Amino acid sequence: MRETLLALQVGAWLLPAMVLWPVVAAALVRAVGRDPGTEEVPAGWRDARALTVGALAVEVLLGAALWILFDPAQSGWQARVDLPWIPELGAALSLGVDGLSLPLVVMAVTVVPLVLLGAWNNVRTRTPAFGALLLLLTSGVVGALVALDLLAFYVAWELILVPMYFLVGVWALAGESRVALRYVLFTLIGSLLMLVAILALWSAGGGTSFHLDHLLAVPLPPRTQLWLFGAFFAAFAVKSALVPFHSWFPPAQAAAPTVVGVVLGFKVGGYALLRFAIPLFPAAALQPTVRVAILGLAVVTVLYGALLAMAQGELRRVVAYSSISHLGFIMLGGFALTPEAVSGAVVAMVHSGLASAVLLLVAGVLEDRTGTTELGAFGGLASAAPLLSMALVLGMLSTVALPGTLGFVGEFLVLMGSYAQAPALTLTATVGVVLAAVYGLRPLQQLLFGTRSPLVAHGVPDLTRREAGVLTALVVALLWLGVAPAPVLDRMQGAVRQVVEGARFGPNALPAIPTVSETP
Amino acid sequence: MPPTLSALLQAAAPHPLDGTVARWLPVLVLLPLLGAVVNGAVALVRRPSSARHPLVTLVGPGVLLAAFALALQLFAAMRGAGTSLTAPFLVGGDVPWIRAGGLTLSFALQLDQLSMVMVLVITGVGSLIHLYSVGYMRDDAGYARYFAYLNLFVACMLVLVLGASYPLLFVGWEGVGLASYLLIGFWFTDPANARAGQKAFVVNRIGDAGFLAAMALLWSSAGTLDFAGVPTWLAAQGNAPVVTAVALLLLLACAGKSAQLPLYLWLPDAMAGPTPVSALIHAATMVTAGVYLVARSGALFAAAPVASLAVAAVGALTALYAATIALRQWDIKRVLAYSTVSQLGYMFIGVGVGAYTAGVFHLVTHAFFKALLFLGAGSVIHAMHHAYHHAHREDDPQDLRNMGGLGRHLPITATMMTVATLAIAGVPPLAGFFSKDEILASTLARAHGTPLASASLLGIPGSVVLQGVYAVGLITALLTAVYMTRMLVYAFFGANRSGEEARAALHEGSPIMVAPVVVLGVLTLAGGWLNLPALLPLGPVGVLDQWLAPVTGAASRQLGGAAHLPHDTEVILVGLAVAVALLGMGLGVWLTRHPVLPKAQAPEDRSLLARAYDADRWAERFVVAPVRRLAERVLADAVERGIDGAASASGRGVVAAARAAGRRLQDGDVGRYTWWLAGGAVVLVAILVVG
Repeated sequence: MRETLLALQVGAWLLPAMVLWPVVAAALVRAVGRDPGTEEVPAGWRDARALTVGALAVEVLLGAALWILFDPAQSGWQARVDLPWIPELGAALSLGVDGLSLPLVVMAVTVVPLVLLGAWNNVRTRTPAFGALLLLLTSGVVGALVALDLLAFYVAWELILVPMYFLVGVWALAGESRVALRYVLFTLIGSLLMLVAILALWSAGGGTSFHLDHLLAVPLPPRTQLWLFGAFFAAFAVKSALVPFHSWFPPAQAAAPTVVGVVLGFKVGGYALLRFAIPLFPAAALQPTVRVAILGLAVVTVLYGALLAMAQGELRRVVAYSSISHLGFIMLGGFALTPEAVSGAVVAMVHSGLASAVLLLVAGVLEDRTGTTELGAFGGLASAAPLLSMALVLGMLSTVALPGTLGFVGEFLVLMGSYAQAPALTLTATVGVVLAAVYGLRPLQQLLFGTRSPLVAHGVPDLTRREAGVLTALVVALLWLGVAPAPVLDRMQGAVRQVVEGARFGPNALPAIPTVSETP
Repeated sequence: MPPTLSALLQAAAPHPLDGTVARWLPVLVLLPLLGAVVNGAVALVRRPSSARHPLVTLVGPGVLLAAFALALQLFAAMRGAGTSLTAPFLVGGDVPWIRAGGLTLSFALQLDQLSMVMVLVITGVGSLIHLYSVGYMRDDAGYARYFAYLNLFVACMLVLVLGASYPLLFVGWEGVGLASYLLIGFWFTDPANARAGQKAFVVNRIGDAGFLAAMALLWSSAGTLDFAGVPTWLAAQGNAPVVTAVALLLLLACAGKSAQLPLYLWLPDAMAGPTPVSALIHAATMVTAGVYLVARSGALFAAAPVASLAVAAVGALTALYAATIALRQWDIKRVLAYSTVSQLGYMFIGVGVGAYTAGVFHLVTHAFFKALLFLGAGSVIHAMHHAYHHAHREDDPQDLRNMGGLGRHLPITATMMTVATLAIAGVPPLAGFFSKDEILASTLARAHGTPLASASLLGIPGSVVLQGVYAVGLITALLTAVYMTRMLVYAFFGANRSGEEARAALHEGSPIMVAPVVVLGVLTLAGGWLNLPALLPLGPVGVLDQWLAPVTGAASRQLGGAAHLPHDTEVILVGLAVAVALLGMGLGVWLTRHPVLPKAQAPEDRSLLARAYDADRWAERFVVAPVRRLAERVLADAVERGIDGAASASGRGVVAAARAAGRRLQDGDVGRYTWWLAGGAVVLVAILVVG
């Protein structure tokens, strides 16, 4: 299989295709697609949802090819492509993957069509536009994950923002479209700061190239690093909803259509920290005060997200805050900067996407059947809708990091790898493990157990075959990767080592990484 | 860095068990797992009722019996290998699980003498309880779901005792917690049951956080999480504080799983599950996992005498504390639940003072007689339930005040329960007498001139701690005899208080429920022969001690030296123990001299002991409520709103600033910004495409 792909020189066009195909497909879906018809007048093949899923299925195949093509033994960029773009500025369309981005790319392009398929009736109006925007969004996400040129990364980063604004704003739950504005405002401020920092970095590097490899070698005084790191960090912290920059996230995820909510929860911001902010500005990221502050914020995020998840009365908000808590673990692992912890952080990013997909799909099904996702409205679903209940239970078990699920792999590696760097903070983070049990089981108790509430007694149809199929695929992925994460972990080791060693020994590194031991 | 497991595997000399049935060790785990999958599938397909589904009846207990048969084969192979078995047999070290950076975890299972004992108890007692369940659950609509969970439990429990590393043990550790959660809340339409399951899971998670922290410390300090790597690390570390820290964190984990102070609160509520579940999970196996973990980590605890003393002290305090509560419980299952907490305390004393054999010995005998007591109680509840159903009455079938004189209606159950009561009370020559006596004698023997005695816990010298532990253990033995006799008399003797109509319908359960109880009765009678003391010439001496010596012998010697009591002292101690048991039973009979009224007519028992010291209320007031208030009032209502407000204000500030700039482009309309951005993106794409 791999040999065939190599012989066809697939690597030469795979990544551009993954970025550009959704854009082309978006135009097609917009032009050809139709809203779902009625019983009498079905939309047939022109149903925009079907077209979108079909277009995304192509993306899945490309993702699979990328996975197969990837050589685990090799470190450095793979499937690398450099196309001229704005030669006057030294900007090129440089794309490539390594073990850090590969799992995230494959996860992203797989989850989006699955969730769209699973939440089939979630969006029934203006579906051609919805499908087109979703495809553009996918292109943006993939682009941000595979861009090696910082200007290209910036464009992709903003390309996430624009379709997202409309996807949340237009198709949000009634009366909630304001959250879209907030989302844009928050992330825009962050990303404009980042743009300035990118330009500053570019000019410090001689103004000849935006390529990451080039900029990594640009020597920067620690003070400059601090400013630039601050700008990057602001962008990524807001985007990934680090406490206290998170307040846009729960309302947006709760109001957005299911598939959009899932993409909102992708930890692209966490990835970007590991890919750009830490390697480019190690002396700033690992400067003791900065590091303690960020690790502290990470642990605060773990606990704050968990406590807030405990206090929510609505399922999507529980999921959103649990996602914030997970981000805390990701940040802890990322800034602990040991191979184990960074691997754990990347696994936790993959997990977050999959687990949120399961839980938001279940929430979407409940919304679809009953018009609400308020926990208090339910009770006794376990007997009324056993398949749905099982999906919810398994998704939640992975969310609370039960061993044997993917959630555990990430959290475990983060905790093991972080202790040596920040013992007190890591021990504090383990409290989040206890709180997770509370926020994870509470919705199960309220939704599934007890006597049937009037709403449930009225009848809640169980999963349809399509929903069951999609949820099965996602849950099996969570369990399978929980038991056999080695293929994913093996592929990321080279890249993880590069990040860790680059930050320790690179041209801009501090002489030694301080251990955060004397934290209060 | 200590050698990794795979390196050890490659370097290992040929093992005596190579080529024997031992290579099928993974099958032991896979059998019940398969059962869980099959029964789970039946449960999903056969809705709404899977009661008495023949496939489930075949597969559910079938996989357990098969596993037990395999366990016996493994045992025979180990016996055959004899004294050459000094290292654990490892299999599956080449199946990778998690590997990142320097951390490499595999699905390696290990079989050694300690694991073997646990496996025999789990599959043996487990088989009996699965068979019993066929009778107990036969009319339940969730029959298949029940066996799916129960099989899942056994699979996880086997992973727990066979895993060759702390993380794999942890897989089983949290897996049994999940099964326990599902089974406590098995009858989930009553929210109280589901809440009890949730409480169990959350309280256990406090311990589990300790387990994770212990692993983090161990990993960062030792660079290994395999059991095989720990001794190498200890040899290099000596008595460094980190060893004690790891041991104390493991103690926290054990206190959660094995229901010790202060984390025992979940176990009494766990009785909401079906009674065979209480027998298997919340008496015989899962709750002993903490005892197993301490014994498994013997080398580590031996290097940390302070932590060992802490284990013993926690055990002693818990034993006494729970025994006092058991004195005044009216729900038959709650008496047994507090009794279990108390007996687990004994086991903690045993493994705490480094008498690992004694602790494991009591674990085994307790598995016999406590499983018997729970299954007997299950038969009683089953009979009472049906009798009330027959009489069309809604009454509490678990309350001792509604029982009385049941011996006439359930003679076999009553006989077996009496045997078990004598055993737990410590009457010779029943199983409990030998194991409890060995724990107490070992405690006293180590009180002088041992490393344990010269350590100190919170400033108290170890010898004083150990003497205190012994005294508390002896008092607890007295209380045990009292509350068990009280329970037995109220349930089976005297006049019946069930009401005439119900009484007529009281009878023994089906043979499949009676037979396992009888088998456990025989084991309760004979269990003491597993490890007879030299003092009494009844048979071979210290069989279990010799069996476990390759695993725990070194650690035991390290903590206790050559602890030995003079012969005369031993005789006195045995006499004291027997006297205490008989005195306690007499007190128990005396306690029940006044007739009690049926529950419906009796005034509510508001004594402090009946309310279990109000511990649940205190925990609610001082732990649960503050956390909830913090989450809901402080964070959700105040802080989150504050952050939100600040964010909105700064957002508005930016917009206002943009407006103030007064440029046509930047008129503060974010919608327009995005258009500019989108336009910019399009232009960029266009530039890209064109050139």
